[in-house]
Amino acid sequence: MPVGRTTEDEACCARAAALMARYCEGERRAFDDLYALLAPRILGYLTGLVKERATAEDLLQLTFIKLHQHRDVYIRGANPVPWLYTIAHRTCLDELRRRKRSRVRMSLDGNLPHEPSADISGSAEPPQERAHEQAIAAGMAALADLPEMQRQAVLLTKIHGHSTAQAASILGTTVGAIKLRAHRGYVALRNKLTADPYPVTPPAGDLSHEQAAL
Amino acid sequence: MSSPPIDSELLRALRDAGPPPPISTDLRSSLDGMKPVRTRVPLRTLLLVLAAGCVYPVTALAIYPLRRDLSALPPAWLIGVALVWLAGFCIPLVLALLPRRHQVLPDGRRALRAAVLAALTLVLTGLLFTVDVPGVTILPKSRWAGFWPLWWHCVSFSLKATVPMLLVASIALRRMTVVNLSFLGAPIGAVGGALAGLTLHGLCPYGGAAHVGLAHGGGVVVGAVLGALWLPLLARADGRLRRARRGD
Repeated sequence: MPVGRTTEDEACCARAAALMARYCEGERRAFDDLYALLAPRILGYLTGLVKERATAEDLLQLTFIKLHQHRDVYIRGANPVPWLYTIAHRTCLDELRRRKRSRVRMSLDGNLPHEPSADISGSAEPPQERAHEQAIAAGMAALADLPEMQRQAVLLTKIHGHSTAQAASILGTTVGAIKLRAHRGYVALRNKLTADPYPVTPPAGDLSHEQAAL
Repeated sequence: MSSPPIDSELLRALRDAGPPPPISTDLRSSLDGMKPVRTRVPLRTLLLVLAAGCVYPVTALAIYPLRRDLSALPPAWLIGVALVWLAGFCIPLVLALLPRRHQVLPDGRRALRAAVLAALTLVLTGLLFTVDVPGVTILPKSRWAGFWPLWWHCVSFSLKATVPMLLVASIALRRMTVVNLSFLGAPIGAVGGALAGLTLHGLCPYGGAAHVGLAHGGGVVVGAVLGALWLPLLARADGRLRRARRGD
C-alpha cells in the first residue's frame, strides 16, 4: 500500500507552518527546528531523484539556502511543506542542468579519472536488520531504475504521501500526467521488487529466504 | 494473478534517507544576522497587476469616444456580453495570483484551464453572439486586405493592456520558484486581453462577428501565448543574472 496522508503528516505540516511563521519573524531557533523537522523528508526525496547521497546532501543545503533567501514569498498560515518540495525540485533541476553544462575533467589520455570503488563487504549487523537493509537497498535500486518522470511521480505520491494535485503542482505538470506516471512507475517498481531475490516485505523473525539462499 | 502491493513499511523506509547532515557553513553564514521579513500578501500582488493592466484601458476610455452604435444596441445583450468579458477577466486573474487556502503557490493548472476556457468562450461569444445595428455599426470589409489592418488595430490595443500586466506580474512572481511559469503566464496574458476586450466592447466602432470574435477574442489568445512565453523567459534571464552575480 502506498504511504497515504496520515494524521502524523498533518501534524507535521501544522508544526512546520508554526515554525515558518516564527522563522519569518527572525527567530533563529525556529529555523533549526524547521530543518530538523523537514530535512530528513527532503533529503529522502532528493536522494530518490539524484540517486546519490552526497549530491542529495548538497542539494538539501542549497534548498534551505533558497528557502532562507525567499522566505518573504511565504504566506502566513500556509503549509510550507509542498512549497519546500517545489524549491527542492527546482534546485535539483537547476543543479542537474548546471552540471550538464559544466566541463568534465579528463586525464591526459582522454579518460575519466579513476575513482576507487567502495568496499562494502562484511557487516556487523544482525541478520534480521541486514535483511531489512537489503530490502531497502533493493527498493532504492529498483526506484533508481525507473524512468525519471515515473520516479518523480512515484516518489512524491506513493512514497512521500503527497496528493496528485500537490505532486502536479510541485512538478509543474497536470494531475492526469501524474496519475499515469505514478501508476506506471508503481507497477514497474512492484514488478522489479517481486522479481528481486529479496522479498518485498522483510517478515519479522522469518529468515527462511536467507537460509534458502545459504 | 497480479503481484501483491508494495509493503508500506518499505515505502516508508524509502522515504527517510537517514539523518540529514548538519547545517552547512554556507547556510549558517547566510542565517547570521537574520532579520524579520514581511511575508507576501497575494491580494496586494493581484491589486498591483490589476492596476498595471487598467492604465491603458482607463486612459483609452477617457480619451476616445464611445462606439457610435452604443445607444442603438439591445441593453440586455450589451450587459450580458460585458458580464461574459468581465468573468473572462476576473476568474483567470484570481486563480493565477491567489493561492488556495493554506498553500504558498497559486495552482497554475487551474489558472491555465480557466484561461483556455475564457479564451475559447470569448472567441466563440464574438463569433456567435455579435449584434450589429444596420447602417450604424461599421462592418469591416470581408476581403483579407480590409480585415487584417482592423484585426491588428484591436489586437495591438489588447497588447497595450497586456504588456504592463505581464511586466508587473513577472516582477512579482519571479522569486516564487514555480516549476512551470507558463502555467501562470498564460492566464495573466489572457486576463490582459480580456480586460482590453471589455474596453473594446464599449469603444470599438467596428462590428461583424468575424472582427469581434477574431480581433477582440483574438487579443485574449495572443495575450495568453505571449504570457506563456514571456514569464519563463524572464525567469531564465533572472536566473542567469543571479548566477553571473554569484560568479557560478
